[in-house]
Amino acid sequence: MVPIVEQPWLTVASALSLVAVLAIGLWSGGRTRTAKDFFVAGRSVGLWVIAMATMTAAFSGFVFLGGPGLTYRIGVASLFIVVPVGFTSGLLCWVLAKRLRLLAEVEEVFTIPDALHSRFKSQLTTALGSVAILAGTIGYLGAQLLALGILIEAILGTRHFFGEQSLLVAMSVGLGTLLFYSVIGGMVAGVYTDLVQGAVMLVGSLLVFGQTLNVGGGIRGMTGSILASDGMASFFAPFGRVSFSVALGFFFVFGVGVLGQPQMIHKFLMLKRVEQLRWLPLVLGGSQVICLLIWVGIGLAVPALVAEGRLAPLDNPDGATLQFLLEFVPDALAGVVIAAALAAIMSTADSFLNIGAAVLVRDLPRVFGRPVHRQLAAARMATVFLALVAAWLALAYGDLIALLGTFAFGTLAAALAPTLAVGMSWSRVTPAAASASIATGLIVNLGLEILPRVAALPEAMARVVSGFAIPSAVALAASFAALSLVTWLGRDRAEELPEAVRQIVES
Amino acid sequence: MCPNARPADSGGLKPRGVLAALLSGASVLILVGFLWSGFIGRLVQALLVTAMPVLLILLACSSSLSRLLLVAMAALWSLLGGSWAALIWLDGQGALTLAGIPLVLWILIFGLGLLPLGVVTWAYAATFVPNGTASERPDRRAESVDLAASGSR
Repeated sequence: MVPIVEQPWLTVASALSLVAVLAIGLWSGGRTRTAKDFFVAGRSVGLWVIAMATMTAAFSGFVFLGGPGLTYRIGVASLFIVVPVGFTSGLLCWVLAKRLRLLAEVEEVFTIPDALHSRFKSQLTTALGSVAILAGTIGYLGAQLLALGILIEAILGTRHFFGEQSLLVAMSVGLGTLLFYSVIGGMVAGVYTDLVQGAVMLVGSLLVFGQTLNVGGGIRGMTGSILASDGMASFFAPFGRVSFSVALGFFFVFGVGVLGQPQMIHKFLMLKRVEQLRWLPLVLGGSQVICLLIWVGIGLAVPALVAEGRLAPLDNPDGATLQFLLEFVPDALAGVVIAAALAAIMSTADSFLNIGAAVLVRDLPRVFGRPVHRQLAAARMATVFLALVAAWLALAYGDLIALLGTFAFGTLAAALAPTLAVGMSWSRVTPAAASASIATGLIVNLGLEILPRVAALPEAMARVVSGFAIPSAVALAASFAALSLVTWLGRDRAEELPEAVRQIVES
Repeated sequence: MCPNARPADSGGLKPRGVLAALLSGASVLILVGFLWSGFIGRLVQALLVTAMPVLLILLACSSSLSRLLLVAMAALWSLLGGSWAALIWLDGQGALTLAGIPLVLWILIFGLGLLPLGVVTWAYAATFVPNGTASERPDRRAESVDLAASGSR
């Protein structure tokens, strides 16, 4: 790991960022008095905060640290992961935002499984939805904590002092900060730290993008250098260095799959007034585009610098961002970007801590007929428990957790997107169809991702599995198909829905 | 919920059922299509995938489909589908550039990213009606919900 500790600006900016979120945690602690405050921030949040909280929950540290490296590795094909932001903000608002927000007014809906229960009145559907969210949470959270530990280890240089125990110490520092504000302030702290973290991410992205243009000679200069290099001929091929199926799979999963991401859609339950939704696609989509400038900027600058011989070819593409920051960016600006990466990791992690805690103390206990009555206290304990379990798993089974983290987005997409998107818009969708869809998404995705890694498949089956290219895309399509099939084969039971819920679905 | 609250005609074709059927067909074909190859196979697959967000939005708004929304969705599908068609056509054509920048980059950033963002943000804001049919009725129940919530503190 690059010794960031030798750059004092980076340490100072990161420390300031941590102090800011701790201060917000203290401030929000006094504003968290009920389960409603803890889970949905008292349903009193305005447009800008919701937009920033949704953006920061969606964009983890991968956008800052992994994305540019992925572009270095597979060329412009990496952009198929991020260009769907052109329509996803509108898709989310049209399909889910208003319906979920209204559902929260007619019934007590604090979580996505609550929304599933309100819509389908089925314990099985709610249980499957909760299990899917818990699986995604463990994967996402473990991966974020691992990334947090690695980044703090580099910033503070803990390996020099603690040797083998370095990652544990670094992760403890990050986890302690995260738990402090997540436990005390719940979602109130979550969304307001997201606002600050989002601002840091936007400023960092904008400034670094400007620096990439400056260093690389503008977009034309960077692309010209890459095109002139013999070794990078495939960088600007339409599908980069991946197949058509992989590129289309990226676009499908990250475009339509956003409808199944609880860390994003949970935020819609917190909006103060429905009227504020009018400008949400603009603010959310606009902030996402600005934040992604770092992906595009460093993603083009690093291969251009390598092509020009100003930077040695990278042994590990994941180090693209850090390499660029340390060699081509002034210390103070690099400090802002490292703080932004920390912010991105922590904002995603705090969303999942809250969602996971809700599954443990609210969603699953209700499914088993044992609702928890003191939910606020229980949620605080569950937050600590979940964080410790995820951290332990990340340390003990780092490879497995990293793997789970990489396909957690796809797991949530395949399991939840069809049920939420179609089920909330079409009253004919039955509980059986919703359950079949969630189960199909979970089983197909986990099966296609894990089976080839743990078992030697028969040659014919291995050929089919590898032909699918992106398991999450296949699982998402299969989940949509299962929902449709069971719905069309089943009886229309829309009249059995409560009148208020049916009106929201059919409006 | 579709932000445009204009009611649909009560008789005739039911848009929700038609859109749901299209969505079902598209999802099955996408699933099968992951094993297709060749120019036409890729093109059909890409058009189906890009139709999914459009169909989902139309399904969500099927009780109040306005002309403005239909035009916006046609524009969105044209941008997404057209961009994918262009990328498939460009595959194997060499590095074509426009104003010194690779054509592929123009298509990715503008055709799939920024122009669709302009269409959806404009269309959403233009068709948004805050006092939708359900937004007033549930407001009156908010107080009772709050009381219920207080029981779980």
